[in-house]
Amino acid sequence: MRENRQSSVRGTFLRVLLVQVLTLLVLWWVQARYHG
Amino acid sequence: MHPLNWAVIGVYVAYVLIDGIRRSKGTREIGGYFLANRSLPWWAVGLSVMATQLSAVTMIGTTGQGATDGLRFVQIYFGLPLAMLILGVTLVPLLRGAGVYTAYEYLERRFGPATRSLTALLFLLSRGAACGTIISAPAVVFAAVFAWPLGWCVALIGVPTVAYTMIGGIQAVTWADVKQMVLIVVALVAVVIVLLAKLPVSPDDALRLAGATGRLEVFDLSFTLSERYTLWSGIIGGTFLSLSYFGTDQSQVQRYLAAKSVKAARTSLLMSAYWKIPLQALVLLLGVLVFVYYQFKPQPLLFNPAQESAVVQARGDEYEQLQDRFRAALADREAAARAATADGAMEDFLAGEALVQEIRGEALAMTEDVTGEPAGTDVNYIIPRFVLSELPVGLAGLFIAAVIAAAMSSISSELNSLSTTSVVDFYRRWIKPEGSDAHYLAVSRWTTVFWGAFACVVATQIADLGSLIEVVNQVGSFFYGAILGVFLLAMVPWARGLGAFAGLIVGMATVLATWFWVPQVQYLWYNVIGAAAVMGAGTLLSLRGRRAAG
Repeated sequence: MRENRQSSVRGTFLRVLLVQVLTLLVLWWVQARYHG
Repeated sequence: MHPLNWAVIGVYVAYVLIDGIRRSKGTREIGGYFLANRSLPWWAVGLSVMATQLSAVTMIGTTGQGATDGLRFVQIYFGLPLAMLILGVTLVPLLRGAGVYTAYEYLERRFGPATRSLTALLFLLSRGAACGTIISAPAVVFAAVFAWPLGWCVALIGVPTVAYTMIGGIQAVTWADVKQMVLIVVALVAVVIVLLAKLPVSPDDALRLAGATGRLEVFDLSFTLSERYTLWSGIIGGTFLSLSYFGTDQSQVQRYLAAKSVKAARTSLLMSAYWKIPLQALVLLLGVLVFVYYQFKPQPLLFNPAQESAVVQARGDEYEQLQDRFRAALADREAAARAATADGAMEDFLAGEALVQEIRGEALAMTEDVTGEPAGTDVNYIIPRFVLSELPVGLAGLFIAAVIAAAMSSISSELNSLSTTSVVDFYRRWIKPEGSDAHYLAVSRWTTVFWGAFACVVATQIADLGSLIEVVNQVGSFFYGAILGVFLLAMVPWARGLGAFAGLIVGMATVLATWFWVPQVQYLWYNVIGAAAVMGAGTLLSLRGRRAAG
């Protein structure tokens, strides 16, 4: 039960991290492409 | 304004009011009135969390910030996802499991009544003032743009909000928030689509023009405490700001205390973790696109019509000369912008843009001279002026309704939480501990009205304060760090009551001292400084107390 909970927390953490990295990559791309 | 726009706004306000009043069943006792009997689904709580945080200050101030400063303000939210993850495994299960109505109620169990009361008082002071600012932001703009008395504009937003919050409690607040959030997102997306369609250049060219002026620079990697928005202040300071705001501010805590379960509470916070940064980027992008739009359509020299009238009356000839120079500069800039999109050479465009900003700077200085109001307030009028003069009929009404919705969604949550804290942490705790549920319910309704009236009075009194989104976050940062520090202390076993109480005072004093003596340190860092000072002082004093006790 404890292992399931830890694995679920780890999974959530990784999902959120992945989405944030992708979001930041998109913003980075915008900055790089349209840099003055 | 066109009657169709008024009709859109009228339908929205009427709908929210009727729906809110309809929700008053199930609120016959304080468990239902304050916490919806812990029955709300995760998606309703999640949308309510987002709607509470996204006020009219975002719709008007942040969009204006995007037009003048570009996307870099989005960095302030980079710490939010991490904060939500941390809260999901710490404060959320802790506060839910404690069976409390307020976050501060938990502090008494840990540290005693003094710490609870002081923290709750800081919340009431900071939130009460913030509530006034959130009503004031759109009201001041409406008053200037429609030439209405400020009091009427405050009432238009404040009265329906107080009504449905008072009658329906958290059920009315949450379900109204859900609809308001949908309206806000629909309006933002619709305006961006229409803007892109109305631009005489392709979206790619539009972004190239914006990028040339630095408005698409998102990341500032410099590590300096005196630069307002950097990646580091966003990730570190922003994490602390989000931890404190979403973890310890009753206006947010009450949302997830009302969720069906701990899992639902966690999932509701994750909605913000995933969507807040893209949503904020969209808000700022709207401002950036408005900036590009005005490269090809003449923009006003001053966006605030009330200030412009005052300047024309006081220094008409001088202003007329500025207008002539401005019109010429705009024409040159437009020609340069079109040439730049054709051949990619930006030098003439940037020179034209610099001249336009220089003349605008002279106009703003003249405004400050004539009216005594800070020049920076003009940024808050860019989007409202654009919406009313450039958007199609109906869509303008939709955006104004979304601004009112954003204001109402934040104010209603804040009023509900101010009422809860007033009743639970002060009235029931200190004045009448043995009252009946019906009595507390009646008192709750009256305190909602009191705080609503207080916020409306504050709204009519506060002067324009520059970019509102920055002001709101600056004021918040004064308190949030120290309050977060107290909750962090609550999670460590060595902290004691006297240590926490004294630590909180030391934390607030440290932030004040930093603001006074080291003004170059930017406000996002106050969250870290306050929390660290409370943790440090609270730990030292607690350990000393334990040693003295033997």
